[in-house]
Amino acid sequence: MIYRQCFHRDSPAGKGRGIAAILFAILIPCLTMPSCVKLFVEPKPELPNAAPTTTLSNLPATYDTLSPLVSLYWDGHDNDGFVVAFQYQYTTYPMGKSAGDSVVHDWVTTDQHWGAITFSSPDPLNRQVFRVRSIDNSGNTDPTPAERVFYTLQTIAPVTRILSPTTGTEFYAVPQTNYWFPGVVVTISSQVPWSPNPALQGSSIIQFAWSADNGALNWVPVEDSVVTITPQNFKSPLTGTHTIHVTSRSNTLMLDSVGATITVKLVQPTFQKDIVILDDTQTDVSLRNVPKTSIDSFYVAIFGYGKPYTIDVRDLQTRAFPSRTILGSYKLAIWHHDDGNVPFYMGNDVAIKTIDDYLHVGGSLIICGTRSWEHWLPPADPTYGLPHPFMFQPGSFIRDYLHIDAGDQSAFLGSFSGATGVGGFSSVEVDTSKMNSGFPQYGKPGWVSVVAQKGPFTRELLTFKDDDPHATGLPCAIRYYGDTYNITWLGFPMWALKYNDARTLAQQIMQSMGF
Amino acid sequence: MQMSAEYGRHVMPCSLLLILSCVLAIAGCSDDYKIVGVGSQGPGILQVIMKSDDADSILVIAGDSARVTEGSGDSLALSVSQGRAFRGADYATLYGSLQDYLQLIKTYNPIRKQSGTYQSLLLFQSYLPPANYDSLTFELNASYLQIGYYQIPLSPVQGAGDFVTFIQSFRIEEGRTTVVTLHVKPLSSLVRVGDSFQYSWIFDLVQITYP
Repeated sequence: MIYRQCFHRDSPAGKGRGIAAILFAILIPCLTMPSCVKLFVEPKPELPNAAPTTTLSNLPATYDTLSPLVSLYWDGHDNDGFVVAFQYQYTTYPMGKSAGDSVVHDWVTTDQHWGAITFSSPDPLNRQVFRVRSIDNSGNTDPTPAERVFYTLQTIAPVTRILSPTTGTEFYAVPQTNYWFPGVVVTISSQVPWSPNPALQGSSIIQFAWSADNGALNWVPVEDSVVTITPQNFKSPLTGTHTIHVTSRSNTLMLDSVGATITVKLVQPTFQKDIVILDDTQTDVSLRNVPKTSIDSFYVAIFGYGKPYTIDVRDLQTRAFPSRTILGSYKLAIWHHDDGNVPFYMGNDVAIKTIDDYLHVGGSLIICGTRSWEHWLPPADPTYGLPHPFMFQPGSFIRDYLHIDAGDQSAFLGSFSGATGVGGFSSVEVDTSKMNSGFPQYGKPGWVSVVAQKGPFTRELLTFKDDDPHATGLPCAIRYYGDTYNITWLGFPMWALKYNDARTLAQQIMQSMGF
Repeated sequence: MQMSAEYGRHVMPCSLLLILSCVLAIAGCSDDYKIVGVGSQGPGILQVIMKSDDADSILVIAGDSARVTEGSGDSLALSVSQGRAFRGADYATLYGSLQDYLQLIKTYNPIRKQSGTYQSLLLFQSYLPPANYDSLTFELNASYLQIGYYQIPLSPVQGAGDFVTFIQSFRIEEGRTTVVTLHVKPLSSLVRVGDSFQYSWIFDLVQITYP
């Protein structure tokens, strides 16, 4: 039934479908004709690749006045590709009284959408014209860069200094650092010069940088104004002159382009020789005017007894204190001061600093002689003006290196007839024929130094056995067992001892110190 | 008279009730730490003992060595304080003795020898609620070492705290004593740094007994 109705010629539905068929027959050719025609028409040329466009964010605002460090954000768009990079550039127009020439800065390429740029600001006020343009994947650049005009205030670059060490300073250095020798310690200082212009005030340093021998800069926070440069940072060979350069950066990212540079001389100890005897004795009536050579020979004999050591003698009065290069060629330095005279050549700052350094890198030291404390106390503090016992402050050579916290001294009248050995060390006796038999020595050393309170890692070797209000029973010789260096200190002259006693003591000390 | 009888009928039971309440209250106050009838347990006792390893008696100092000697003045000044026994996040405070009511800093010498052996040190003896505990912690620091000829300052290893913690389960039972024995190597725990020793305590055994 339905089938019939659909195809009945005279029905209304049948008439409508006939009209539709006619229209369809007309419409299809009309619609397809242009396409068919197009197949036979020349195509239009391809449109050229369009350049990308660039936009800047709304901050900073146009004509704003800012500090030179400005952060800018940008974006790019490309209708027929995509943006691969940006280029920015700015022109500075100084606006001070001098109104110097404008400066056009080069384009800088970046793939970032932002930049923190320190704008050149030579005058108190500077007009900056900043431009940024996009680059698309076809290499086209935006012909109309986004532009922003604003003003920047002047800032001043920081000025960096090295407070210590001073140029030309000499150091001992070894390839491997230790507790005592961490490297070359450099103290840096920097500040932004003050300006009467309020706009220029308020800058602060945020970073220091150091480099050794023109190596790469090592940036550290401003809190680390004391930096330690390890031997690995210096070029080989370690022995020789090296440069240390420092610079700094302010919170406006102004960099000290000059910085400060010093040269230091590093000396790597060789320890090729065995022993150097540092003679600090002034012979006089107290020693019966015995020739200094006799005293030196005595020390060579007792310390070199039975061993093939190479022993050199250096008279500090005539040849001064040895340089680091010379001292560093010996494994052990023996310093002796047998008379009661002052001053002492080893007491000066240069000698002490050299000895400190020598110990830091593994040297060994034996010290013997009277009036020990007066070598290293400040001139204003002679021992006779100090209370008994004398407390030595941290930072002093006696406390930090000899490891003696408090000391005392026997009377200047000779009262030291010998010392009692402790813990395997032999007792010793004085040879009264070596000392002045009259006043004040009476054949014995006076001003013998003793230890009232010893420091860590020390042990007593001998104790003062005679009757003295400040010295009886106290150690007059101690040994420091260091992890890097060793020291034996004796508060009396070994020259005054009987030869065999002195020789036995010397051998025991040498054995204790690993020789 | 009617008033009196009425008064007596109301007041007398109230008075008796009041007296009874007072008696009960007084009885209740007679023991201030036991709640009779609630079923709560009495405490147990925890003893924490520290014993140094007898084999750890030689200290090598650069080219020299020092041995702990009996009867000498050898001493390692050890301060102990702030003991706590933990059960999860809860803890019980440890006191030095059963009589202590404050946590005191007590000083001990773990390298004191008697009859050829190190003395045991009773660090804590304290009442604890019966329970299963899972850890023990206390502060343990030292200031100096005197051994042989040497007097050497001590300090904790840089970056390490003074507290020692033992993750070890133990139980406290009512009326019984639990003994935790800590075995320490006092000299091996020391490392030389410049002119001092730094300590990082080495405990090689934690022993728990219920005698």
